[in-house]
Amino acid sequence: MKKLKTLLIICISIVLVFTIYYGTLISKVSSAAQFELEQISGDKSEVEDLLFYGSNQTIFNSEFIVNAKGENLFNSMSYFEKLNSRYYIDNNIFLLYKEHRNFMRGKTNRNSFYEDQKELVSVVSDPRYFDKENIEFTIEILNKKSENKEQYTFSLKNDKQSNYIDIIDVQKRDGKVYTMIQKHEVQMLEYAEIGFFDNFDYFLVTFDIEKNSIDIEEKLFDSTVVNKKISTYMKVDELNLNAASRYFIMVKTTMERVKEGQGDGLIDKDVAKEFVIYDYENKKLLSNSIDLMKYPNYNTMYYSENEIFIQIASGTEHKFIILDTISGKIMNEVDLNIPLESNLHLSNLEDHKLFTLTSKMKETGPSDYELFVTDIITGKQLYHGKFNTEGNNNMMINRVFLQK
Amino acid sequence: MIQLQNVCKKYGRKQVLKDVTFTANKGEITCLIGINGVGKSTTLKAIMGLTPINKGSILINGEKLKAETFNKLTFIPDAPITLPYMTIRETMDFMSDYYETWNEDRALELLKFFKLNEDDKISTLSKGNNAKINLLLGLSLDVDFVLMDEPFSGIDMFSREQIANVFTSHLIEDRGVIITTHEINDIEHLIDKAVLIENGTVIKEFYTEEVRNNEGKSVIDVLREVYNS
Amino acid sequence: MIQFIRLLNFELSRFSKIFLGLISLVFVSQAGGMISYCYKHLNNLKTTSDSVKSTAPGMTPTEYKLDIIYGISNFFFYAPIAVGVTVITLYIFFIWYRDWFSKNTFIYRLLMLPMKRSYLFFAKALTILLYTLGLVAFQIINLHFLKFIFDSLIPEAERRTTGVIDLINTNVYLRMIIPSTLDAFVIYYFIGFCIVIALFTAILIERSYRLKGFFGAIVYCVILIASVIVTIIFSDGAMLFPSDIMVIVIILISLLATASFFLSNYLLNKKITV
Repeated sequence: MKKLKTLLIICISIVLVFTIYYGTLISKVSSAAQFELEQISGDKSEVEDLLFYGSNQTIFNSEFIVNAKGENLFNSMSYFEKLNSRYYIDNNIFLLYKEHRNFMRGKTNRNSFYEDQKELVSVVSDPRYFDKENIEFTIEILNKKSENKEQYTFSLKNDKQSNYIDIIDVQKRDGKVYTMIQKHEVQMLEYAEIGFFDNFDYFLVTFDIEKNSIDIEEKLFDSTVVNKKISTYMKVDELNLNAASRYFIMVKTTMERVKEGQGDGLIDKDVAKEFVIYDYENKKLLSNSIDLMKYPNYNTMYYSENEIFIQIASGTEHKFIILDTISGKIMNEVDLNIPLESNLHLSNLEDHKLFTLTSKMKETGPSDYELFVTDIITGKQLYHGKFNTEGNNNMMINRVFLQK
Repeated sequence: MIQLQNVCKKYGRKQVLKDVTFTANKGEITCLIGINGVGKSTTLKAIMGLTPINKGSILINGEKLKAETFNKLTFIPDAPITLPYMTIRETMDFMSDYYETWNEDRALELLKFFKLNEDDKISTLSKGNNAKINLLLGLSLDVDFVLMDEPFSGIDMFSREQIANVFTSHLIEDRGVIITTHEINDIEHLIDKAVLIENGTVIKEFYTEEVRNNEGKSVIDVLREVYNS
Repeated sequence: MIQFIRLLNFELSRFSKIFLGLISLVFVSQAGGMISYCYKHLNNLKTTSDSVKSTAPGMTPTEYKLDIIYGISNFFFYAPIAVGVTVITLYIFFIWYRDWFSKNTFIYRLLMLPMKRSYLFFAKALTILLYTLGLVAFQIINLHFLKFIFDSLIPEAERRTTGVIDLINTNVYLRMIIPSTLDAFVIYYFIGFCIVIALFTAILIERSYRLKGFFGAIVYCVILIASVIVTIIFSDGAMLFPSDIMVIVIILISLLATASFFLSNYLLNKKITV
């Protein structure tokens, strides 16, 4: 034994230190809380299934995904599962990943799915499309009952050499898969007298499954410059992202580059803001009568089959409006009962319940988070809680969602 | 018995050993003789698996070299192969840890014979004493064969005598010895068999006693004949 | 087996003095850095907290409290770690070359030991692994000591209560050497061990074929690195989870390490030249 002194000392030290360290780590992780959600009013059951995704903003950021009890799910994950954390940061991807793990391999675009009772459809673009003449797209259709998967491919010409493409909506109706594609092209449009503006084109590809070929490929709209005014488009979030939807809605903003004050500084000023609606059923572009310039302070927006939801959180009001998609008529308007001094940090609408996270800015970053759950039909506040972070002022919450 | 059959060895393009064939028997002192650079040391290294051969075969007691063979033969190179920071005692302990054939009594006897102090550090020893340590470590193993590479090289006269005395002592007993040298004078009277090597080839192999009795020649006489012709 | 253990112990003891030197350096430098940080910030803290004192006397708002996380973000903390990493990396080469090129050619003795030559290979590889783990283990112990210094010098009301585990998990460099889960720890050091095996093979290629071997060793390393990179690139474009890619990479590295070991064993037995 004396002769093996060095070996014994080193081995015993290593085993002891790492056993104690990882033993403590495991026991601590199971009880560790990122924060405590302290109930102020309402019903605790409203937040029991919530998940909060965020990070600690220290010199080295560390991500977390925490449930309402404050338990960090990342801590109890295996190393391999942690590597897949990108599947946890988006509620749509997270839920699909949990339900159809194998099908979800390589699929991280939240807008690229369609789901009904029988099928789950996904469209994925070839990530290596640069310098290629055609961009390949793969449609995968999973039969949810039999777990069988069918695969189809189509391609789009890449003549202008897109440097960025994104699938922004997928629908399936009457045996056809509709894929809304946003292409960002290298070529830029000259905008105003100074500067350039990136050009986005929006394509709709209709793929006939039976014929196994593209039925129609059309350019719906693009970023245009008319009279030195540029139009840009922003997708509105779908409330039930994967569900069948007759419409696809974007906000079209027209901007003008104007001089700011007396100096040479230029700013982009919104001159018009409206909805652009694509009707999948009648295959045409629509617009409604809503002038979005009326809501300059809107924060979040969602749409469902026939409704558009707008949350407004300004220094003077915290309210929620429901509009009819086509007529633009206000269907419902409620006050959210959120203190005006609270800044809206982020919100999420699920099942007609609005989950609003507010924060107060401090020198060290946002902190003093509060959570409000409101019924958007009645305006009733179902829950109000405060995050107790035990002095951790570096916590930043980036997303809140229901795990269902 | 150690048998070398058509052993060839190249260093790059240079042919160092060319069809080297000879045998060394247990109980005999076989001397590989040749001038510097003819391949004597390479032959010993090849036997010990310290340098690969390109062709031919080397058998030790009919078997190829394997881990256990190192309990049957030992090699005493002409350079120190011990760790300088160790004492002689620690070096001996190191040997006894790994070699089941280590003979502690013989090691102590050799220590006394060479007048070495076991507490001395290897780094403080002279070249001669380092050569003696190599001999001590090699000869303290109860092995069938001892391979010695130039044991007298660069050693002072008194140390040479001391080392030469080992060959006539019971420390060698009935083991087989293969020794290389380019200075035959010191051990001419001790060797049983001479293997003359030139340019990597065995040019003559003979038993010294036969030559002495039949032809009345010493090893040096034979060397003169061979190299002068 | 006992012979292998003895050989491992022997190889370990050959590095023990350097190891003691390294851990002394880590201890002195990091402790010194922490003491200096605490004294430097105690004065600043007093001035700042006086100006922002809340209504509760003696209490400092959390955002002005000192955190050990910042106390370790300095040269004196990272420099000895960098030295340790460098020394261990260099020792991967030195552990072989010193047996050829030191004053005495000890490789003669090592190759003539009556044991499989693969034992020698593994004894040296495990020496690297054990000393690496030893240094990391000492770093964990020293972090506790640094926390003790921090807690002793900074009054409780003026400091945050960050523990050693949080400290490690919030520091990207520490997390690299002390992963946040046990399975990651095993994977990291397994991959590290495989890299050591591959480097040893490259060294033995050079030792067997000398000048040709030197270039051969470089080519060998390039092939290994390229095969891992190509696999990652191809896997990344495929429809796979990042965890799938990691599994593929681990399997590939394991296969390369196994192949490297067999090549090394062949070289040690058939091609090595002293």
